[in-house]
Amino acid sequence: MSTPWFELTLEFQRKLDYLRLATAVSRLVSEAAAREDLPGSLVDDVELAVSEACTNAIKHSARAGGTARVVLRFRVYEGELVIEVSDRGEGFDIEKVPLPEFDRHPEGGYGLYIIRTVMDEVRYTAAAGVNTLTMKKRLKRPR
Amino acid sequence: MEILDEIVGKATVLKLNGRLDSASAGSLKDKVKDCAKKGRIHLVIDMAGVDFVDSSGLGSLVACLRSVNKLGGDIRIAAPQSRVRAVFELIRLHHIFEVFDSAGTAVSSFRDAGTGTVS
Repeated sequence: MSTPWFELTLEFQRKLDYLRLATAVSRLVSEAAAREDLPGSLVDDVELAVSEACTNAIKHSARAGGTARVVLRFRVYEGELVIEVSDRGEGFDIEKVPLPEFDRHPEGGYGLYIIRTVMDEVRYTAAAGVNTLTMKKRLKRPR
Repeated sequence: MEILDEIVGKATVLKLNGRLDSASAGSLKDKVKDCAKKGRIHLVIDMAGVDFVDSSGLGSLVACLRSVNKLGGDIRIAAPQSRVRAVFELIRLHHIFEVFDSAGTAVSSFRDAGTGTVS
């Protein structure tokens, strides 16, 4: 992949207090990455995905102990915003995460569904004790 | 997130300002629990001042709805911004909450009809 236009990494303790910081940074990055001809919802979509992903990472890494941290990394390329959220929690098999049971209206379990809905590509990897959710958003309006 | 409450006839209006997410979900649950203890179980959540929600925030609304339903009450949603309404509908909560354009009409609905429940 080509060299990013710019990149930014934010590392924070596994506390929900930092969620506001993470989402605020996501807005700044996606606003800087977006072009005038992009749909206005892009910044909102990215903020929502980052909120969901960071909440999941904070909850998962909570099981890994008090010193666990969450790493949020943004890379902006020509035509694409790539966001990685990493934690040292237990991890999960993304292919085995079911759709929410919409008919039962559960109180939780919507996060990955929302991320997959608002982002263009979602991957999850676990290596050397680090779990990374990678989310991509296209920065060009489809022709 | 700021939560202001006002009793209007049979209903209690909880006016939320700010962000309803995993960081603030607990304060909404606490507020609804406090209302329920006082017998205030016909609640209108005025969301006009909410500029961001995520699934954890909306999940707390579902938990609140179930808790007041058990007591014979209901929660009705008022004036969500379009962005908030979009997430609300994405996870299909419009099937279990009645949504009104204003807090006033939501309050009136408690006078005009009974309460709904969710299992």
